[in-house]
Amino acid sequence: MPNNRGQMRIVEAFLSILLLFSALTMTTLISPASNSGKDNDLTTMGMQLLISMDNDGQLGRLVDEGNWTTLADALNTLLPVGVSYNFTVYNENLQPVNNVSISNGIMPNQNVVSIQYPCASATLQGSYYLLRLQLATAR
Amino acid sequence: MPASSVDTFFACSLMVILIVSAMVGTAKVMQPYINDLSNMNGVERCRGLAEYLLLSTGKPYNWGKMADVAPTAFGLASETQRPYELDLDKVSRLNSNSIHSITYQEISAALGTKDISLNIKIHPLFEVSINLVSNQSGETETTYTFQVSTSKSGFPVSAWLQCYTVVETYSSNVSSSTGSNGVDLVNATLPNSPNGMALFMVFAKAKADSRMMAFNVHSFGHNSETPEPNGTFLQLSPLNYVLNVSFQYQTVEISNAYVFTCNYHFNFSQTAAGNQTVEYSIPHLLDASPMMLVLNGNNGSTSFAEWTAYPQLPLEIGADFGDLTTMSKTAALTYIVSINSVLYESIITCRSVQNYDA
Repeated sequence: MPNNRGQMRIVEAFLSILLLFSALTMTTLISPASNSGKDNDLTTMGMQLLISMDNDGQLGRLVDEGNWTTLADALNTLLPVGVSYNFTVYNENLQPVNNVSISNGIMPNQNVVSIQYPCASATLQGSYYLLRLQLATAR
Repeated sequence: MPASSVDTFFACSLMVILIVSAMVGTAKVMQPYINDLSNMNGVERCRGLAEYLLLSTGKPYNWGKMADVAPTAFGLASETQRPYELDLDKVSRLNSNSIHSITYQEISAALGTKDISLNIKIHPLFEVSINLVSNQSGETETTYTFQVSTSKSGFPVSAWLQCYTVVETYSSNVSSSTGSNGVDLVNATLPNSPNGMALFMVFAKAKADSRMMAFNVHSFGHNSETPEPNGTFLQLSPLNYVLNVSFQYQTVEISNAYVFTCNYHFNFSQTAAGNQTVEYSIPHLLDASPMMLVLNGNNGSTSFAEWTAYPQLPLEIGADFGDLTTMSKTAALTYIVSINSVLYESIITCRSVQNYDA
């Protein structure tokens, strides 16, 4: 009877190669591309922008008036070119208030960060809103 | 040698090759992630530094107002403690055109971060461009037509315009606005009697938010030859509401001094005079607008009109990251800051020497 033990070792070696390379391939595919640095930049920028807009009550005033065109114009001027945004205003019951889209078009293949900002209008009624600003740059 | 030994040797060799190639492969795959982690530390450090210099006043807290004092700790925030509100004079001292300017070396020493290269830019949120498109001379007056464009990186911005024209003792103003295309034609009429260098100034206020303002100045010869560039005859350095004027020539004579803001314009008066320098007192105005300080006069037979903005913007100070190789290794952070209730854009770019050159 021929000795097959050596052949089995070769088969084992090939199996090991297969196992290790498939593990390596899987790791590469599963690992997400790290974008946390860029995301932090966008989050900081978005929050800082909303604070600046709200400094003298302008943000609350525009939301109160439902002046979405002016709000979009302000965001277009404040944000650097190349940053996409989508802005949504929610009332106290978390229902969307803006009846038109306030956006310059977020592309599907972009890293999107979402910033939530509570805002109160400076009127006697004192309405409260939750603003959600989504920002994105090309991946 | 038995066949099984050959097979075992072959199998062992395969295993060794496999392990070595796996190690090389893992290293190649992981390298970008390891690099990204170390870069992220650099970005975080840069963010910390940028926020520190925009949110802290520095030491002494009013170093901006003291012309001959360099800060021991660097910070641009105003004393009001409002977040991202910068001090008018601290910002003006970053402009190299001012005689009171501090150097990049002084900034670097005051920050205490010798392993970080830094570049600071502060400018209006959008741009105003002015082009003289035509002029029509009459018997007593000449009408100039300017095309004024307001845009941000090429995209139009709708804005209210306040335009001033000044030549010698004559000044006039006209209001206008740019539409959705960001362009408007503005006429300025000047009498033919005064002649010399004239300035056409534009303050633009975004319709979306009156705190977003931009400005620009166009100089042109009114019944005279093409004017010299700004800064040829005078060096203007506003600080702590005093305008210091240094003459570039001994024969320079100043005739008039004006202050222009978005809503007001008036003459301002000389308060002191020295050897080749004079000082003017700048009024404190509640108007939320940058100020344009204009001086005109003569140098021999040549008339001039020189100007500066207060705060002295736009400005850029620090390391030059223009080279593409250098640019790829930098972190640039954009902030919206306010100076005297007007919003500006500040871009702070950092490069950690340790991270990238080691």
